[in-house]
Amino acid sequence: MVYLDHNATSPPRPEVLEQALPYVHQHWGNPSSTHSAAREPARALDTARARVAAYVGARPRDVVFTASATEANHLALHGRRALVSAVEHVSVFGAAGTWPRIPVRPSGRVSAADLAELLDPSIDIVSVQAANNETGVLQDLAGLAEVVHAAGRLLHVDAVQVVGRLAPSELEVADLVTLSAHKAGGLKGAGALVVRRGGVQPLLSGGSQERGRRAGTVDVAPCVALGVVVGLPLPRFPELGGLARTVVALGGRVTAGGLPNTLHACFDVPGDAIVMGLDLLGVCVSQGSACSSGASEPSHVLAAMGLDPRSGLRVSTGWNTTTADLDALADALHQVVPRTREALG
Amino acid sequence: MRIVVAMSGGVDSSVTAGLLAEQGHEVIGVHMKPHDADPEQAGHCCGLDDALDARRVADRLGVPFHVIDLREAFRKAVVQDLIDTYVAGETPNPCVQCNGVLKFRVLLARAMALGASHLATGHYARIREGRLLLARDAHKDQTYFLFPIALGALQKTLFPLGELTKSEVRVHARRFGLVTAEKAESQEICFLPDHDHARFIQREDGRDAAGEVVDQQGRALGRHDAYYRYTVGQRRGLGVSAAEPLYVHHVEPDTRRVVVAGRRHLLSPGLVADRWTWHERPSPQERVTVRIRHNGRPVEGHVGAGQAPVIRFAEPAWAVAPGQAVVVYRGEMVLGGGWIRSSLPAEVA
Repeated sequence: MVYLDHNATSPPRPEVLEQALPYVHQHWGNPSSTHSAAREPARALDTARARVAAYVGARPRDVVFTASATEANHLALHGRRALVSAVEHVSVFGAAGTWPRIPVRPSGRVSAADLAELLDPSIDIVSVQAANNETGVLQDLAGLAEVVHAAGRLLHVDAVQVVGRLAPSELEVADLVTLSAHKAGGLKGAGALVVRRGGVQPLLSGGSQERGRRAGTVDVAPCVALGVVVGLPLPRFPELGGLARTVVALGGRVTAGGLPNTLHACFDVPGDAIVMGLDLLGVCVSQGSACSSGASEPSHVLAAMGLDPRSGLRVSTGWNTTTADLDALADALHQVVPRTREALG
Repeated sequence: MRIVVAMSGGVDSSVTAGLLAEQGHEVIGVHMKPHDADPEQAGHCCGLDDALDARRVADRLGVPFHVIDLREAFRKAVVQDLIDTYVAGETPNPCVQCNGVLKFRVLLARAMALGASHLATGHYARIREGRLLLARDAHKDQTYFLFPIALGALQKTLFPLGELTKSEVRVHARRFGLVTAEKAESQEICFLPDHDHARFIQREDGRDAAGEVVDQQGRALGRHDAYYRYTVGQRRGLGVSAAEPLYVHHVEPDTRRVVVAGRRHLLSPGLVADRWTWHERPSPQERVTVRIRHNGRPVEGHVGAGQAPVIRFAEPAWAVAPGQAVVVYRGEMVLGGGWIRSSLPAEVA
């Protein structure tokens, strides 16, 4: 199997498993307990917390571990009136209600002027992702933060796709930051919200874990994994230029991106037909999000950019991707795209 | 052969996939997601639970499985057609629309895109020498719903259950150990989980549909809340009492009147139908078998000439419902089918 869907999730890195797995089968204690079985898990959680804090230049106490990035996004926006961009992850939409969205330009980027125009006095918090999971487009966080902070509002940044892809320096302007590691060799089951400023209103209450900001026994192993991943040097992603040339040669258009691991393309046939054809050849890529039945959803990201919401194809590489993987994808595309076009064009 | 199997999540399409896989074909399971029916009310056709059942069956059989989102096409071809037909005072047939447009056009093209030679479904019908034939199990025969398949598409279609009975299919399902083996049949309109089409049309159309129930002389016998609740031949829900049992004779959408009559007034000597799919057009002299509904006895008749031919029955048929399909057979072979525009009035005969 050739796996090129790291923006959905990625295989755990060996060094991550080595450090995290002992907290499943050996140091299984509850880190909140008062006895000695808690000592090692609590220590590991401290270390992970410190690493996550250091990653974004915050204090360890600012880090709230959650069970997912979705939960972290909800925690950031809970009880607040949020203004969010039109290309956010659906979990942000779920947390933000149906207020107007900040539009994006055809480039996929939010303009500071559009943001300023929509930033009315009722808004408590603005949420803009660092990098888009479908297109890889990066937002100008520094420019947007200036507008938000000049108005005295909070800025939340969903930075899930930055982890293991880019240096986190831009995240320092954010008041709240969502992170997770399973798309970069970590483990599913943990996310984190870094709360530098503004506090949060808990979603889950009743336990004093995470300083009362998130009740519930902490799953130590994936938190350890998150700490390990944010401390690792960035992988060297294989060059995507050759694949882009293949896409163009097959009549596709490469969407402007930004993440070094993501190539997004639009074809003149439904993207899900290409995804299925590639899957039969053992190549895993995707369109973006899937619904509960497993069908690809029309992309709100492409729609916001003025593109056909069904035409997209996302290739995302990861820490273990080789140029041979990309060659296999290119070969498969040569088989699948013309056949799909002949049948559906 | 590489064969795409349309897997609804029911027992029939599950066994279809199982039989083809067992015969050594490269089977690819595809489930089409036609609508967003409330998952709490699923258990009808093609809801989320059905998609998950289809996936479980594909896993059990060890075949690849994909879900294709066809909500847009379904909305246009099936749902809107249902609304328009009911609002026009006629009785739609969404299953035929779904087969003709979605399964054997859109899904078939998707199968070809996947490099398949054929699309297989769990319908009870047979294909022989490129022609559509009744299923061996006459009680399960579904050819009435399959006539819009073009001849060219038929060559790329397989109905592996055409030679089997339903109980044989269930035996196979158990033999394969499929979770769908004991699953109930889905019979209702799949995207209306509460079976209340009138409420759905009311919500979509919005206009007042209430009016009078009248007899053939125009005398008011009662009132109804929506004329599209009624279909030709319907007796229940009229809320009128009379010496003889009364049935819906026809519906007048312009006046919103539902016209009722005694049973014998619903006998018709023929019909006019249009939008035909012909596999082979019979000559007007040929005596053919005609089905004007899925259930019930077919009638004999002759098909006239033209784009919207008159079909004359050998004996009068009861309750010919405009909007429904009419399918013409020579023996067990489907010659073609179309959509009933009107029934011929008795005095013309």
